[in-house]
Amino acid sequence: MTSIDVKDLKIMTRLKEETKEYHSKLESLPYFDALIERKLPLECYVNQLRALSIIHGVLENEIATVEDKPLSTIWNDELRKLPLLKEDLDFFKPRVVPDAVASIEIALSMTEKIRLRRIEKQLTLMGYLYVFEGSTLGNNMHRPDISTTFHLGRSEGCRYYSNYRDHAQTHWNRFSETVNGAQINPSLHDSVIEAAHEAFSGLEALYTALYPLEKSGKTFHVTRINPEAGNHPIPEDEREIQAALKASDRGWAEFDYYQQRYGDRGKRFSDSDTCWLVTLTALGPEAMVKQIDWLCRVLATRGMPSIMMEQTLRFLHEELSCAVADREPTYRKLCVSADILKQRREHFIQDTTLQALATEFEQAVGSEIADSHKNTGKLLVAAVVDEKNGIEGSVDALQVWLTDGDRFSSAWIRAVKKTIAKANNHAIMISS
Amino acid sequence: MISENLYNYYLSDLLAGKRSDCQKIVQELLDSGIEVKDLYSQLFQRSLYRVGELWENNRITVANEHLATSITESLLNLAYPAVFATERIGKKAVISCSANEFHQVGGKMVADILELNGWDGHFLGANTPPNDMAHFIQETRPDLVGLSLSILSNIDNLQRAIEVVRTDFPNMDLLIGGQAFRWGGFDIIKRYAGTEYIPTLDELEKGIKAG
Repeated sequence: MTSIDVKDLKIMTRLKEETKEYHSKLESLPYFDALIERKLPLECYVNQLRALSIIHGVLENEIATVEDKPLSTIWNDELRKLPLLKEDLDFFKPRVVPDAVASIEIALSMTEKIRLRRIEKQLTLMGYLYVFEGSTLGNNMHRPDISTTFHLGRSEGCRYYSNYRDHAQTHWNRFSETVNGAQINPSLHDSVIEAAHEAFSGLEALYTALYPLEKSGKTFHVTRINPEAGNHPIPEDEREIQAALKASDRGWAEFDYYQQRYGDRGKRFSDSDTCWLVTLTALGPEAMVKQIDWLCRVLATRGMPSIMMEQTLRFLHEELSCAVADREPTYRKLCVSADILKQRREHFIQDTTLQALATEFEQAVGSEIADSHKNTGKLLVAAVVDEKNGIEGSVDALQVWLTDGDRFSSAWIRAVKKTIAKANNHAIMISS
Repeated sequence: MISENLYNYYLSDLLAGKRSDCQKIVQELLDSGIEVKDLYSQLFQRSLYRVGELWENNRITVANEHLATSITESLLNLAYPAVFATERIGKKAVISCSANEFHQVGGKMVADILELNGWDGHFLGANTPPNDMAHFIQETRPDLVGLSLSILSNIDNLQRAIEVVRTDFPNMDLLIGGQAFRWGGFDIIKRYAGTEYIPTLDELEKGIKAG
């Protein structure tokens, strides 16, 4: 085939032709042999879902936020697979399948490459999208194998595999038309194909690691809590993990703002961060406080004032002490850290004043609105205090969302600005 | 010495992901005869710390941070002709990151500084399980072992690595370092005899020259 012929080919045709070998190689791996023979162990299947959730979590988030025009016209939220993977993983949760570290690390390595491509060559993520969307055809073929091997009814435990059901081919044809119609510059086709090769190579390494599965000493990896969390430590005791998740739920429930702004993805990060907080109890008090300060700064500059951390630390102490009573003395360090945050807060604004300003805010916006935006007034004051405590950008990070005219009324926006101004005045009075 | 202007140009290019512009700056510095240690501490280390701060303060994304790290790692290779030019003095070191520790630039720089001073520096890379590290030490018989930690909450894994070295190689000189210790954690190191914290590349070089 001459180079002119190659240039004339549509991108989907080239992708199909130039990844054929990779695809065949993947399908001939022992994992798929075991799957077809209906001998694949459950832990291999579940760890596959975990690894794929890590990859899809990052890939879908990165593609959804690209500016590159062809790619942004190809992507739509219906292509998301992470919700399906999470459903499947939730289904298998009671079976407590240990995390397979090797496959998780391969998945994390793939996400690193995806993130770098997002920065350096956005369009090439099309190569990854081709591979992962294309796998839906293979998934459809293997659906009966999975259902039979693991005795699954309907699509329980295999939502990812049965996403398009009997319409997989129709979906794929539509997807192909969209991609071909996106007018990707032919001079960029080679780099898209290179990315597809990279994606296939990653999957080959992944499925090689998944079967046969190497036993690891670790039972829990943070990515089972939050596929996008990376690789930070979490407790190895499941009681502590469950306590952390309960504490995260309670912290989240205190402020409607968090769900409204950050949604389910934000909640997953809150869950994994709270699990990480538990690991800090192994540190000395000074190191622990510094680590918590670091996380407070990271969160406050992203619109999450440290008052939530303060409350979460207390909830965490309660839940952990309940779950693992003999370690309560260790967990008490969490309260000490919470007390330090409170002291810093009260250096600028006393609790009584914070409450008074929050109540004024609620009265200004009206009880009905206030009830559906629980404790937002407190967050406003807390953000001012964080700024005074040296976390630059805390107020802006919160205010920009809470004063968005597309989201809130002018009365609400006036109340937000007034509360921030009043809190600033109070803070200045105390510090001067 | 690297001028403040040049550092700022480099940082700006690094944050923008301009790999080839960063490479040009580094190559010019090497061609002008900059000491590798100064390149590492005044340019690479300083800029990566700054990148970390910018991410913490939500001024850049995590992807920008990963790209900056990736660029920096690739630029370390430019120093290799200088790093490996020194005559060997017959001493060996094994440098490793503890299990679950994926930040490896610091560990690589330590291995390179040792090489610059005539040592054979074996860098095992990120996320090395303690038993694998012990096996390698057994085979290599180094004169010292270095362990790197970037994330303080990973200190449990560092402790396990220290314990493996102390148990299997009780007389081995053991150096510990990494940016995690900006937050504390020295009490863990102090528990083990023959284990020393090295805060900077300068201190490392002084220590190995002093024997």
